Amino acid sequence: MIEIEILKTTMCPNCPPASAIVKKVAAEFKGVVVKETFIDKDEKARQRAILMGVSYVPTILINNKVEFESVPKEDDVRKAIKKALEK
Amino acid sequence: MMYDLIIIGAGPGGLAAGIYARYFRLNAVVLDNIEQPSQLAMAPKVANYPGVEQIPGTELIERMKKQVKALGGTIKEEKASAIKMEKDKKVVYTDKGKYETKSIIIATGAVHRQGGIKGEKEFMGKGVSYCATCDGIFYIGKSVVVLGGGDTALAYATYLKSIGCDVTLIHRRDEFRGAEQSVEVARKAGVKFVLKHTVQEIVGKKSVEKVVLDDGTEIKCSGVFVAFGEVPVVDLFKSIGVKANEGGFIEVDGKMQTSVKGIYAVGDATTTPFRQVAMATGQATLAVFNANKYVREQK
Repeated sequence: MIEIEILKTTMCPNCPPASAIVKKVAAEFKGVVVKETFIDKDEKARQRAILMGVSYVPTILINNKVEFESVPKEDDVRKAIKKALEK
Repeated sequence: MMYDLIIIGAGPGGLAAGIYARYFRLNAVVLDNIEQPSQLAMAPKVANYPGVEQIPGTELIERMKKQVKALGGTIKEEKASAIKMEKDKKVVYTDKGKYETKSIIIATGAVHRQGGIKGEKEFMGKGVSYCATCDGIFYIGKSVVVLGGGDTALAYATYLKSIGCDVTLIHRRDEFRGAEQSVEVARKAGVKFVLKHTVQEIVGKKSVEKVVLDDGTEIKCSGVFVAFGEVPVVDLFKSIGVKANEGGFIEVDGKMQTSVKGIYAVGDATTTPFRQVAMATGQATLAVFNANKYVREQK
């Protein structure tokens, strides 16, 4: 089981496409959970992101590690999920 | 299937074209490249679009999309990848298929311009940002600088101040490209101004720690928001002979027609002197009016 977390903000125009791509690719796999966190609505999440060195949205975490700091390409998400599932 | 009109881009220009295409009963599709969101979506607050007192850019875009759909229009999340001119039609290829059409409206807009400052690329995502509404949240209670002198820079500075950042706006001139109203709002909000200076270097270790100005002055900051204007998204149209100026912005005539018959352009991708939502929507209205005439003449 792996967890993908998308860190986003309400007014970020690049966040909806990032979410759409991650959800689409994640649906191809079993055992992948996708979680979206609006850090502008969740102070704890914002603090956690800052402590992780995140200063950009969308940022995509796989199993709590920063994997992408932009809108990822579908193939790159696929590769990252496969790699995480193999571990 | 032959379409009357393909609208490439789903910012305010493209969506206004989508609305008016329905009024003229044109068989049209708006192509929305979700990888390149409209610049409008990055605006923290739009307060100069008639009929809407104040609205976040993202919401205004969403309302326009709803309006297109409510009128029976079609928006497809597809990215145009090539255009071919054939004898009596134009073919728009996308990542998901192709569309044969009589006319095209280019509403691809523009993307942010990079500053070319030493350290800018290195610290991208580590303190350097091009979207205050996206990333400003990471800098609450911290010092940030905003670079630029246009409406976007002023809006970013005001927004960042409003969420609790200590904001310094650095601009190379002592006058602004942005509206006087935007300057006043930023000043009243408490934005500090450093004028007639440029940033020579962005410095830090793991993330941004300071900027160095042209006279050697250092300003400590955690974030650098770059707002140096726009670069038009027009590469797709060079191969079919659409003429552009030296900056790459598409040249249009009084009918919003490009140098290629039946191909129109609106909004930030064009040489328009004033990059505003109202300009893009007005231009789109005129473009659809003329595209409709062109399409009817082809029948």
